[in-house]
Amino acid sequence: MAEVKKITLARKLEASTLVEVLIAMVIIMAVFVSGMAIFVNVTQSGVSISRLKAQERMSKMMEESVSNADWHDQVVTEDSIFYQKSVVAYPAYPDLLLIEIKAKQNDTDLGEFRQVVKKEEDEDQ
Amino acid sequence: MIRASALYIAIIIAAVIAIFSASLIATAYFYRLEYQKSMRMNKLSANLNSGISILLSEGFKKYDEPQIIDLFGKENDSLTLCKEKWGVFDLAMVKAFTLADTIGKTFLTGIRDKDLTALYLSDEDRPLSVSGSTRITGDALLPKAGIKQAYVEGKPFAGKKLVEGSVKTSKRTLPPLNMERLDELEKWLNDTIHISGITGDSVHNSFFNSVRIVRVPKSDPVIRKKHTGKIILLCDTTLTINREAVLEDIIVFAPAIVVKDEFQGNCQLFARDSIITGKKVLFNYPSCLGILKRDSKQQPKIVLGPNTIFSGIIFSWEEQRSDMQTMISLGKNSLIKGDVYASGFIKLEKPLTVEGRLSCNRFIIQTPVTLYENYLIDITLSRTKRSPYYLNTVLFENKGEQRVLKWLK
Repeated sequence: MAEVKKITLARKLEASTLVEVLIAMVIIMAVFVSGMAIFVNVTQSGVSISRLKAQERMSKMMEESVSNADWHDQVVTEDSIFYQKSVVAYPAYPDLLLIEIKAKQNDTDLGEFRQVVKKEEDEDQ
Repeated sequence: MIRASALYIAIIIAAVIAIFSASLIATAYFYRLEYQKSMRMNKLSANLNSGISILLSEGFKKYDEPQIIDLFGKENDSLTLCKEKWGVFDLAMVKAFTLADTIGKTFLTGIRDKDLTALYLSDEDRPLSVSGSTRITGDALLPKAGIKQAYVEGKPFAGKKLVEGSVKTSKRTLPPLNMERLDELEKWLNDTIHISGITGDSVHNSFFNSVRIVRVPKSDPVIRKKHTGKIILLCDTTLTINREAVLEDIIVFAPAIVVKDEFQGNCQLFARDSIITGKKVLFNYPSCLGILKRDSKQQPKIVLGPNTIFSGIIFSWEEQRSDMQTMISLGKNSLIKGDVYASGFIKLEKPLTVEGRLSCNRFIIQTPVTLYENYLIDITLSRTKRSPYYLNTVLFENKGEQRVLKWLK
């Protein structure tokens, strides 16, 4: 035991000063904390998958309504998102309709989609 | 031995963390930017479709004045709508915009014609006679004297039914044309004011721009180059359209127009005296040939050469019925897909196929031996063969739904 202690004491180690260590720690912590804060902020305020999904679905519902000449109100729930389609007359144009689709999830608005469409006549000649 | 220098190491680690964080932030930022752009484009696209619906609506009646509207009254869905007269068709333009983004479309509109009339012959107290392999499919509006079979050059009528459709009685005059549209065409035919834009070069003008008027020089009244888009060609003398000319969606006004053999194009030609086309000419849909007679003692005429394929509208019009009524002559082996309206005579050269409708005061058919009046010999006339996607012009005062006839650039 005595020999081991002797060897350890014989070597010299260069150490950082207390001030250096403290400054280094402060810098690393500051950068890390601010980086994380910004990242969390960006990801939280960014694009939500639900919104994207809702937008896509509303667009498809509109397309289907137009291609199938479906001018009726409709309510659809899909993946816990609630879609409500309403069809009303477009003011000042008797042959036009306004289709409005709204998407909600747990009372949070995920978006809305509106389009004016023409009431198509049947295709038979 | 471990070197201390903790400050340097800390700064390097901090820099690495900073770069990593910055790249994450940049990725999220650009993703969000693209997402917002995509959302804006989706919205603009939906608004654009709404604008197209409004332009095709019967309620939209304003011509020539661009209108800016707030689509849903929420002050963030703006549209510019504009409708103009483009020859015998309507030209519509819609632009949807938000912030710095604008998308637009421009198109010709036409009317969905549900009328199944294949033949309209004014009542001049003489019957219509049919002979040979003549076939009429569709409704026929004929004089009170009716329709009968006839032997021509030793050949009887080869069909089973004279008219494969209903037969009704016609009036003494043809159904009237849209005077407002004719007045607009007249205005251009009378034009001697526009002197700008004299050119012999190729010209293209987008339909999003205002119309470009090009006056073809009197010294060389020949079109040889490419003219496409929103262009009106004016000429004060007989204009020749060469075979190599490329005409796409343009309008031409001249006292007389000659179209050379084998020309191919898509245009509206209007003349005062005559339009003569050569052989094997191809006019793509929607084309128009029109003659407008006013106070002339000559007989204005449209002559289609043999083996012509024409898709669209051919019409001749005169203000008051005169002794020298207008004449439309359809060449041998030609195929007409559309409407032929002559406020005068239609001269036919057998064999001939019309997929659409013929309207006139009198038919003339010339055989090597004789000239026959109100005879149809070896003529195929079928309204049902006309494409269901064919859209008609506002010139015929049809009441029908407006649709997009052709997308333009």
